[in-house]
Amino acid sequence: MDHRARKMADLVERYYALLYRYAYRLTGSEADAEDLTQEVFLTAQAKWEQLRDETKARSWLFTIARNAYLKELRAPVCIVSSTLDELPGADADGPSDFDDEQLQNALNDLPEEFRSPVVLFYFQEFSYREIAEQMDVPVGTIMSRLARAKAFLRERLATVEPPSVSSPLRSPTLAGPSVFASSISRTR
Amino acid sequence: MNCQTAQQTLELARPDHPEGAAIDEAAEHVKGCPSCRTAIRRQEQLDQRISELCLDVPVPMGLKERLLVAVEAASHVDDGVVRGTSPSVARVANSVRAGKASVGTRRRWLGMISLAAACVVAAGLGFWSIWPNSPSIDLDDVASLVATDNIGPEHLAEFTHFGNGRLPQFPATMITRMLVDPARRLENDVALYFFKVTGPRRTVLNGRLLVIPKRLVKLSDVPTAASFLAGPTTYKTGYCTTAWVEGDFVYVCCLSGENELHRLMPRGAAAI
Repeated sequence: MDHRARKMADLVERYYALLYRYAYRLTGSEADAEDLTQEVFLTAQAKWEQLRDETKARSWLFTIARNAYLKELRAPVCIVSSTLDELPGADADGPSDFDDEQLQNALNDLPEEFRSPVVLFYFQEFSYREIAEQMDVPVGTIMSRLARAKAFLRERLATVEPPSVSSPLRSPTLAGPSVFASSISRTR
Repeated sequence: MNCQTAQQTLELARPDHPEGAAIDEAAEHVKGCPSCRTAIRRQEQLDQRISELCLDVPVPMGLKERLLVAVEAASHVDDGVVRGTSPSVARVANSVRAGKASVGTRRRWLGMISLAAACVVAAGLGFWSIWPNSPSIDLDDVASLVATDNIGPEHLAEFTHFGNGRLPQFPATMITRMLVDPARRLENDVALYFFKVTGPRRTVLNGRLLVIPKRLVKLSDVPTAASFLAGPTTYKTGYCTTAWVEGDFVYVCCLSGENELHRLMPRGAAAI
């Protein structure tokens, strides 16, 4: 096995599980997650020369994963702005006992630019700087998105009600046009 | 600092938080604010629960192995050079590459490589082209040649009929509706069909079906199986293959993926 093949095999061994979990949280689907994970490693192999610092291999793989996922999305998705705007007050009820499906439903209803950083945040594997680099936005933007995304999850999971039928989003892959309300900032 | 700001600051508190001073200020506020302490505690419980769930995603069994196989299979084609094949094919392919350093597109690459590979097959199959009735085709060699994603129908000439005038005959014990017509000529009397089928998780599996007159196959290679999947399955990098005899023809079927050949079994047929 040559050097590159050994390195690739090593990357698969070390990161396949975490990458799969990230892919699952992005796509909400086991099948899509596996496809995405495979695509990540095949892309990494094809673009091996882009990895100049092997200590950053993990971040690099996750960046590939996110980019590959974004390519597959047929349309940008978002939720109605008011749901992200209405941050619960300090005396909001504590979390009820939600399960994995309810969590994934809540994540699915987040726009990707909020979902990715919040999932990476909860993996506890990446610094804010690494998350910002993966998404190619400033750290301040990541902090802002995280705050809004966590507030959204807090409200959704505290009530543990099924998603609104009128929500335009049940799946990250839902096609069709969507409009970002002005109150959701997309600034870099 | 007010309660909302303090809570929002602390819920993102981590050692790498860019505003350490704000964290200190928020912590100071929370010390003296019972409602903030309650809210922070609830948020920490929520964070812990979400974090546990985010990480508690079962990884499909065998995923690592499938990924390693996929990566290894992809590594067999590097810069358009077919590696990991027989030395003769690799030498020819590399000499083609060296001689055509200015070749541009991958398509031309693959065309040259497959032609080179076809030449090697012809050379390896050897004298049957001079003595067409000599049984010398090695099934493993031809299977290895086609069980790759590098060859497509566009690289090979159309196959019209065998040397004795007969047309290729579809096997009766395998699904054939997906075979891409017409067949392609791998060498004088070897017909190759390309096809695709849907695999697990909506993947696309690449398939090859070789139709070879039995009289041309090495006697030791003629399969004993008399129907599709009645005989053993062999594994090549990224492909499963099986061979069998029906009438005057030997069939070799290659399908990418991990043992998905059963998808080509007609309904109602006994699975092996």
